[in-house]
Amino acid sequence: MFLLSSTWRWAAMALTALSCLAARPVSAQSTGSIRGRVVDAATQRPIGEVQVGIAGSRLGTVTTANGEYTLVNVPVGQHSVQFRRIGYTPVNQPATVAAGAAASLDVTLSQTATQLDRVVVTGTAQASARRTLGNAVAQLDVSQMTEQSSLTSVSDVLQSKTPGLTLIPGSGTAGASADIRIRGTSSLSTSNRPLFFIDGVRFYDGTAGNFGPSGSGTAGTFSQGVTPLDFINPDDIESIEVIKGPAAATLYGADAAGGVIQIITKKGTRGQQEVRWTAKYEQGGTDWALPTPTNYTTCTQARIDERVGSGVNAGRPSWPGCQGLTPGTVITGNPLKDDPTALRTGAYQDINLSARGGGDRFTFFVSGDFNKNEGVFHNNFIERLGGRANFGYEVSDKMDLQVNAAYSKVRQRLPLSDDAGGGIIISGVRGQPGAIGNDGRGWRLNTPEIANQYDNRLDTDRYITGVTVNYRPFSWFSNRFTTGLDFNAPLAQIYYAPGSGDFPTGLLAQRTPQTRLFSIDYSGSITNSLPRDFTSTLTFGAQGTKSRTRTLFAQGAGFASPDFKLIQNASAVSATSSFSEQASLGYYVQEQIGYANRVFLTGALRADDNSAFGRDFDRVVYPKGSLSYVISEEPALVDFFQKIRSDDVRLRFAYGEAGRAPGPYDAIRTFNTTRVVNGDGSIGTGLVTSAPGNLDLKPERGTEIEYGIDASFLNDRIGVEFTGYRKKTSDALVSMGNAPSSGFTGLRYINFGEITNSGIELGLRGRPVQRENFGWESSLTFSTNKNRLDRLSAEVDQIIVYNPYAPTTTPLQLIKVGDPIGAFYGSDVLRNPDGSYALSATGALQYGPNEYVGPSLPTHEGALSNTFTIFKNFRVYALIDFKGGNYLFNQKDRNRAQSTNRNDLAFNDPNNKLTTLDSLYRSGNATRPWIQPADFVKFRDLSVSYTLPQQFAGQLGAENVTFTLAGHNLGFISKKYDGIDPEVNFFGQGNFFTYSSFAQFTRTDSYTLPMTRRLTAAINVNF
Amino acid sequence: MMSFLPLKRIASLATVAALAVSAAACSDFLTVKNPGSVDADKLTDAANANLLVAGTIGEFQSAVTSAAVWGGVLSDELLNGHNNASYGPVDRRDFTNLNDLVGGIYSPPSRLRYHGDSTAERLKGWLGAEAAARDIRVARMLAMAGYGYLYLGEMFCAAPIQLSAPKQPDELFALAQPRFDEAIAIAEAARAAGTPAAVVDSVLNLARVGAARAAMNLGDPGKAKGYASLVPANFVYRAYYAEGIPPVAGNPTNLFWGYVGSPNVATPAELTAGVNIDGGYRYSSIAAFASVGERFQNLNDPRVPHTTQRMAVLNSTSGVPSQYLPNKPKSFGGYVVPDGTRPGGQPMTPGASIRVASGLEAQYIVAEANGGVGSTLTFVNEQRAANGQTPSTAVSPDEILADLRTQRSREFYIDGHRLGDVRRYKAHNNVDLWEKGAYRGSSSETYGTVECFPIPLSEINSNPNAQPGA
Repeated sequence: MFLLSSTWRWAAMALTALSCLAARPVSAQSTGSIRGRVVDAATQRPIGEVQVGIAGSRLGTVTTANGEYTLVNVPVGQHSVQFRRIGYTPVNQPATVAAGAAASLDVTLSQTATQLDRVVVTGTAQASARRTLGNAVAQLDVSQMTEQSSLTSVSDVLQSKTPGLTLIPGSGTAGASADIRIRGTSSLSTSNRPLFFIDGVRFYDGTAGNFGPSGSGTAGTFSQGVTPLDFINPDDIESIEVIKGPAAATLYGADAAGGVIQIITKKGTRGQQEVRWTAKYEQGGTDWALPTPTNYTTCTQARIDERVGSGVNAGRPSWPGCQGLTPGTVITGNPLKDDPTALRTGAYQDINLSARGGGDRFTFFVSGDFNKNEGVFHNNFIERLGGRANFGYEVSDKMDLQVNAAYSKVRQRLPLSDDAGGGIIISGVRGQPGAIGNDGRGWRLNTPEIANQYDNRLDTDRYITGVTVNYRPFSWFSNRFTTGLDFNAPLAQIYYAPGSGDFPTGLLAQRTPQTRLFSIDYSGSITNSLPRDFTSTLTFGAQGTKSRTRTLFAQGAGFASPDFKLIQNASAVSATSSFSEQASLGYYVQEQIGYANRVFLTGALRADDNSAFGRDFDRVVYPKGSLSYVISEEPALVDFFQKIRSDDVRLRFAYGEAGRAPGPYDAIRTFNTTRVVNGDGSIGTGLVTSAPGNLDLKPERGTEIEYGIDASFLNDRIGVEFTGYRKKTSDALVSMGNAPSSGFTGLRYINFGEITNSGIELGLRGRPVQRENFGWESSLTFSTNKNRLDRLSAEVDQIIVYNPYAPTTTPLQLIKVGDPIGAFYGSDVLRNPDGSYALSATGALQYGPNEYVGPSLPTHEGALSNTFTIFKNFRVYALIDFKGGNYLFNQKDRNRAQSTNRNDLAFNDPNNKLTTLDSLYRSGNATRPWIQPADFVKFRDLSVSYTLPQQFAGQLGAENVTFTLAGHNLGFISKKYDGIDPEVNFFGQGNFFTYSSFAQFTRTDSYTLPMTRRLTAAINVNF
Repeated sequence: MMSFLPLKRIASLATVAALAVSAAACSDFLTVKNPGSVDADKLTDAANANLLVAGTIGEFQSAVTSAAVWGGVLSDELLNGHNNASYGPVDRRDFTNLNDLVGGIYSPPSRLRYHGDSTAERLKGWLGAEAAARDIRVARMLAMAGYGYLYLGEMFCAAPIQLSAPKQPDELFALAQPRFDEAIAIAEAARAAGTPAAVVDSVLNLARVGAARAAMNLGDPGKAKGYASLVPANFVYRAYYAEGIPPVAGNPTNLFWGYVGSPNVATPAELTAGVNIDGGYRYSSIAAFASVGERFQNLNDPRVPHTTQRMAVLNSTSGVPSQYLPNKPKSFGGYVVPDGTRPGGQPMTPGASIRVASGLEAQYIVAEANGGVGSTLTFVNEQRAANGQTPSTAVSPDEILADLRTQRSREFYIDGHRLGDVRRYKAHNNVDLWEKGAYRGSSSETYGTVECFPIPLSEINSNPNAQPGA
């Protein structure tokens, strides 16, 4: 366990010191203050986290949870005070300040649907208003989301919140990662994940380096992975911006074709003069809420008579549970449900403490958090202990500095699950009631006591630091320079005690894949006011990233006793190390011409180079262009839009390109060392071919056209955002096995192939009811994605997606021209017109062709969320989401039907006996019955919050106290899938690094843990 | 309305210019290190010669154990017990190049062929023609390259060479022949130049047996006999592997140890539990899949030892859940003759060497080349007697040759000869030994018609000359 007390003591000391700094008086007789309260216009509920500032100055603060604010050191005179908050229409109000006096200014803010003036980060030196952008940028108000839901990771935050962003969770295993796709699959052999930035610093979100839970030594088979993205504390995040595709991400360059996700953490505000404390405690549990499969055994006469042939049970009945029963009796068992040692309600605990504030020239936000999430298996948990410190300092009126630093210590343990032979689910679901094995408890291979000995851990220390300098030498010239380092230092360890079933001699392996990702980013902007209401903004910049991964792997095998747990105690010790380094450098220039603050035309060019392409590669150039037109502000049309009660209508169009680079040394042909055994048994070293390389390699290129409309109606009570897109990937990087006849085996990246993604994204926001004592906010998102492989190469028209359960002559998933990538193909038995089996001359089942079934990823998805505010203090939030159009291979149920198991109801139902041919059909090579629709509607989140009336909170010494009961993954409203959960996939690990067999597209439910339910109670206190 | 200030224009242009300059200056930023490998373009240093030679020997070791296992699975030597969907079809001879195992089976002999050829060429370049013609390293590389061609020809239906169009087995054997011939010539020259006799004889006889084997595959027993008759009876050439249980990661190991369930001396607790124990060794049911083919079970022949009882193997969806697992056959290092105390012989170890070529093999080749004559029957009976069998009852030439084939199948059990032999018998002797009918591994399937491994997709997809119809 962590030493919480000492950690929190240090945190408290640091916060106290900051409080002292913040509390230092800086008043002067020539200044006064402005105080007030900000409430929601509809519900009169106070609004926290509203940014309040004096126009034309850098004085500002944020409102408390009670909506109150105080601006101090405001120069005497009349000022325009700005109020901004995501989701609300910005407001400017005049205020007159007298020396030494406090002016009062209460404000009501109205929620808005389109938020044209919301500021977003776009990669340029200056944050931009949405109205200036020709592309859609989704902005998530995470600080609000963490207040009303139980969110334990960034993946939770992103789930079902943004149309076009698909979260693909692999498993309910605590700590297992989810894959993320924006606007579909656009790459075959590189990651389809977007780029991540935290406060402008590039964030490494690849694999955290865990051993794949396979139960087979250190081998990683199909299993779940871990990503550092989930090491970020959601409570530290202010907002997340999702930049969806090449049309928007051109300025991010060579790796941005999959989109960009910007995470903006919380900051303090200058002039606040007081420390705002926030404490949150959440406690709850995680459980397997969905049904567990029942196993069936038909006690045939043969089973009743069968005796164990050898071993300690020799001569005893093989099926003791069948003894004394009438032949044909069916007995049942459900070890996952019945055996109390199998599953648990894992404890969930989240503790957060943060403080934010600011002085005359500085700001700060510091936080500490502890999160513990136990899985439903006894050997599965993830614990995160972390802290963040964000400091801002205004060096002068022209320059300010922001330093952000975060550290997290993450410990986790992964269970034996998914496809691993001895896992609890596979042993439970393939169990045979009545059989002698495992004391007749119905487990097939391992009992939970054995499976829970599996010891696969990952301890990670992660640091991310960033420094941003903003320099504005002139009012028209601003510069931003950001540099940062993301350092990831995990220790993965797997241990099998001597005598264990999976590794009888004992094994201890450790791996330390240290990753350093250094990023540097400069951006400058020159703004001009041109004649006739035209404006010009010239932006230019450069970005560089350099990543380095150094891995040390050591293994000891053969332990004399469980008492020894160091690698050197083993009889066979081996070690390897690896190193890789990759760098990219890009430059860009962008010019934006604005007209009357309603028309914005933007053009940009970005040039990139990457070390992966070798010495002789020329830079690649990506263009971009966009148009944003706030047509509702066109003077000639204002009356029209007022007549149709429209507040804002904006048309937008964007075109852009971005790239994606291969791995560090993929272009280079290399030789490597190998070991050779001499005649005397000694080991020598030799030199052999290694990577085949490809000197002609170039980045794959994503080109996108995006168009859309944003509109709001009825005084911002209804908002619509519609976007259509068409994204094309050309020169797609494909890792193909090199022709072994060349002597170079292994994988080789080749540029070929074209992929198209097209679809729409729709967001509807409404406030159907806004009364003082009752408010109802509703949001509906819907998106579609049509994915198609347009072309491969002259030699290759299809690629098989590896799946160990596919019959070798009938692949389950294909990458085939004309189909969605990774589409399912299935074969079924041939039937006569009357539905009977069409048998061969020898009476055998005959199989038809392997035919297209459908896509493996959703073609449409959406979410409906509703928030009800009752009597100002009660809030109910509900989120229902849905996905569909795709299929999942149900290997679990297929395997239960196969001849070595046959423990499902269909085979053992005494009232509906299967014929021999039926049984052969279910256990044979017909894959089509097991490729099943994965459509579902799920009750994802429900929370009920109650905020103590202010007078009671005050008595507790707090500004605001909120109690929340929250539930996550509450259950399916509907699903078409026969298995337990259509969201699972047994190959989470493949999301990150196993592209070699195109396994990132494998979609199979093979004893994967379904999404677990989390129920929590939380108290949130603001001081 | 402000006008466009010259200062701004200057600033804009200056900044863009600065970016352009820095773009050129920052190329160092893109320089990265790659300490784990050597750029192929830099392999021009003769100091690497011995490293490349050693690397080729490593490839040879890899190719031999791969050929032994997979040749055994496709032929009748082994029976699959793996639950992976790819394994059963290979044993059942009902698969195509969609089977993902094919690529892994094709790589070792292809790599051996390339490394042998290319290292010999590099050595010739570094040494010069005259010195290379008497350098035993060149001879060894050529002989090993010859074995690469041999394995490709014996195992595969066809195989491209250096991105060529697919070459038929006869073409591959024909390509092996000159390499063996050149190796023989260089070895003889090396002897004359003072290279130690033991070193020369090792390479020389490896090449002679290889040349004889290629000639037999080409249907030229006379030529084969010419090479084989020069090989001393006591000659043995082995591929070596690293011992140690568990094996040290990265060390070359004999694949059989893992594929038969990683046998290891059973602990007292394991002996008590009695789970998958045979001869005092524990066999892992999770790892085991390569079990003894039906024709080789319970022969009571010391050359083909196996567990005394059926052992649990990977729970095949279509196979038999318990099978006999092979122990070290006669051709493996560490072989012990089964006896009363160890009726199953010695279990496999990771470092069991595999006999690749031998004087005994040369004798078998000579006998086969002679045909079903008296001397062949004599040879057969010698082998039978040496292995505890009664004399042959064969009378006719065909019966004598059939008994010779039987003796050969046992003598060279799972050492990489059987698949080539079965194909050769059918091609040149009109003897079809392929298993047919009901599949031995399950009750509901039948054997297919595959008799060789197809060209894998990795070759077809990346070699424009290997396209169907190219």
